[in-house]
Amino acid sequence: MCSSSNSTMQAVTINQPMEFISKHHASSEAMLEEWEEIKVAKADPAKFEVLYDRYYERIFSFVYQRLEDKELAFDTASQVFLKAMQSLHKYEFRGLPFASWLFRIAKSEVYQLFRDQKAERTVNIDKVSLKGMSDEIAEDIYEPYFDVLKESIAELEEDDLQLVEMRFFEKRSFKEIGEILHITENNSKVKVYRILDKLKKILISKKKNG
Amino acid sequence: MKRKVNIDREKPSAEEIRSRKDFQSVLKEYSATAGSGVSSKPFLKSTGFLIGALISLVAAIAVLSYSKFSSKTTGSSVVSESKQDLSPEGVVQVPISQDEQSGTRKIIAPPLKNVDVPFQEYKLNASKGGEFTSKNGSTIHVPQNAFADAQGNILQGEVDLRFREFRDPVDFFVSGIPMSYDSAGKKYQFESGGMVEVTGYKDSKPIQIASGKKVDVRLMSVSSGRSYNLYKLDTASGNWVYIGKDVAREKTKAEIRKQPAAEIKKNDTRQFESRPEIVEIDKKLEEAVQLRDKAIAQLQALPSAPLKPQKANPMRHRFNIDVDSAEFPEMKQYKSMVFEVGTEPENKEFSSDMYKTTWDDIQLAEGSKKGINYCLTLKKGLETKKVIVYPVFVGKEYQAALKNFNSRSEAYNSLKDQNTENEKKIRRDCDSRLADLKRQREKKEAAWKEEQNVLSASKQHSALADSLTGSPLEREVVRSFSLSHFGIYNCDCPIALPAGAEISIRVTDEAGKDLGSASLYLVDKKINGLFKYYSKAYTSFQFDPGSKNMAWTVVGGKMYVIREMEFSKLHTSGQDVLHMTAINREFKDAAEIRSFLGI
Repeated sequence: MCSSSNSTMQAVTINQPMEFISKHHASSEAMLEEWEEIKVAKADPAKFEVLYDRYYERIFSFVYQRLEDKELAFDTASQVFLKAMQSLHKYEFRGLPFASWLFRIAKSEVYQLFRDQKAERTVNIDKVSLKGMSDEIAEDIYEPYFDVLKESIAELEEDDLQLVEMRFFEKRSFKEIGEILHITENNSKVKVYRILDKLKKILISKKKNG
Repeated sequence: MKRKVNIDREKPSAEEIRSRKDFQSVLKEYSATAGSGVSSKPFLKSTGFLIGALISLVAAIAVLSYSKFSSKTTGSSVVSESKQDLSPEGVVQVPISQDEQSGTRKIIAPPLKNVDVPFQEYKLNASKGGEFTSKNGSTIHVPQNAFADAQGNILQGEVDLRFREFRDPVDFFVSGIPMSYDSAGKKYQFESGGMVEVTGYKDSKPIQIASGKKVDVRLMSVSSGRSYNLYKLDTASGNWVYIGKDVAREKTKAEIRKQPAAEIKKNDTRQFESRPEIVEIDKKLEEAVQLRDKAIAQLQALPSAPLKPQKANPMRHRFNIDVDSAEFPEMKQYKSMVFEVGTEPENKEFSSDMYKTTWDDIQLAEGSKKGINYCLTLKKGLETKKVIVYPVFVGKEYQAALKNFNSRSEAYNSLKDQNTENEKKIRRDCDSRLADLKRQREKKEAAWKEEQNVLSASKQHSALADSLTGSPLEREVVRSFSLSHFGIYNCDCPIALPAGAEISIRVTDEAGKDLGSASLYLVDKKINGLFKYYSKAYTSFQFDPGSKNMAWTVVGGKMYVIREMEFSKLHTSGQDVLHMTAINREFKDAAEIRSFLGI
């Protein structure tokens, strides 16, 4: 029961159009239902388990996307949930998904690792997403420029890198990016396309210079 | 800032991630830190309350001041951001997908017009609650005062509870409910242990489950597995939201006995009979029989068999009657025929005096021996006499009649023999055609039975394997869970795509014409799920070549299917074409599709 093999995990294209329709979104109704679960968990921490089960994989993936060490990523994911439980009494529903709150905690934990020099900032790029990104830039990536784009991404300012990671490698909607980064949806769109514009100029410049 | 870059780093499997989940450890650590006053311990009781309260007060004032400032400056802040976002060359282009713009992507879209999984409707008194059993034997228990209106007011009086179940790939298909699950950015399909939709109405207005109330569902599931995850569909976003786990137990014998007979009958011969190729053969069989009967009917009609003339008995009385040959065609062939009075007891009233009477009316009718004797009725006024008579010939008339009879008999027998021979030929031809069609049918039936046997053996094998691991397949189980909200719930296990073959496909009709960009539905018979491939995923179409697979698509409201036999011939790597057969019929419901596809 419930078996799946590693070899099939790469197949993410099924049922997924190329446009980004984030699966992380939650409707108002779902958020309100979840708020009831949170209230129950506030009264009884053991009831937090349903939220833990729901978000564990997503939080781990968020953390591991930014770290090199898998074991550290597992530890950090656990730490995120511990912090969430410890702060749950302060959590109030303000019309935003609970997941965004967890991602903000995760982001905070990961950057604390970098500040404490306990972890090396890692950028994990998959070629399929990179291709999708090049489609948005409207530039075909030939083999030499693949490395240019990869290096350019790795050298982005941290804030820009976060946006690229969330949008293209984690396939989040602008709305969700805004919710996690505490900026407006429109602002997240504008920022992302400014970064793409920047990368496009780098690619054009490299092409011109051979 | 220089960072390490990984390209296509292998991701941990879902199993590995799940295996590292350990909520109890987190809870234990939480309890330990809570005990030390680090966090969620009620803060009013701690010694740091006064200092904390002072800090909180300062923080509150600071937040309040910031909020006031923010509220005043938000507008200018946005304007400022907008100005910054304009690059020197002009406005940055921000493409937004249509779905993101509208936010109204249709999540549930039944692919076939007029075919869906129907609701079963139950009326109940909201104050009293009740329990209902669905056609499949699932039960829904509603406690007292369980419903509220949109404002949260507890409802009384009659309400309508609507319930429908989705049990197999055909149900999932016709309902149009998405069967994929996104977990941590990875896409999975659901292997379903059963799915339900529960809604409620009062006076045609939607209602909700009252706060703090639970509606209990005991779902009769055809998929075993001790416990599946329970998900609720967020119909606004299309996401499945993890709710928890169902509680599964095997059905008791009593429950199985209670089960409707229709559900127990699976894989019966009706599935075979309704296959299109079999329907076609049966139609040809019927047509062949009809053609045979028509051809036989069209053979030259035989005239009445000639009657052998009888010689008159000189000892018996006779009548000379002028017979209308149109009324008695068997007598047409003979001239000079007379009617001899028979020896039957009915003729005891006969006397030679009858010859002395001038009768007003004389009638001849068929007698008790058809073609042999006749009833002669003589009438005068109120007097009626009946006499049984036999046609006979006297003297040389008899010889002439006999000669005539022999000649006619010869012609008659010749025609009869010819007709018999023609009929035999027609029957031989028809029998040959029927035998040919029956052979085709038997061959297909044998193949179908073998398929069923293999399937059955496979199920038995799986059941045996599962019995060893304590997770029997194909044993029916009851899955129990409680709902605090109406909606669509799924007892499911996320699974990855089938493995073993990955090819780039083209989807065409039988003539090779491209069927466009319709979604392709794949059924792997080992799994109670439905894999849906958008056309953009045709370049990496995955399936298990060791399994029984079939696939279909819908173009312009018409279904096209590739069945197991053809599917099994697909390449397992590289490229291939799925030649789909058009289904030229409209289905009325899921049961018809299930029967037609043999699912």
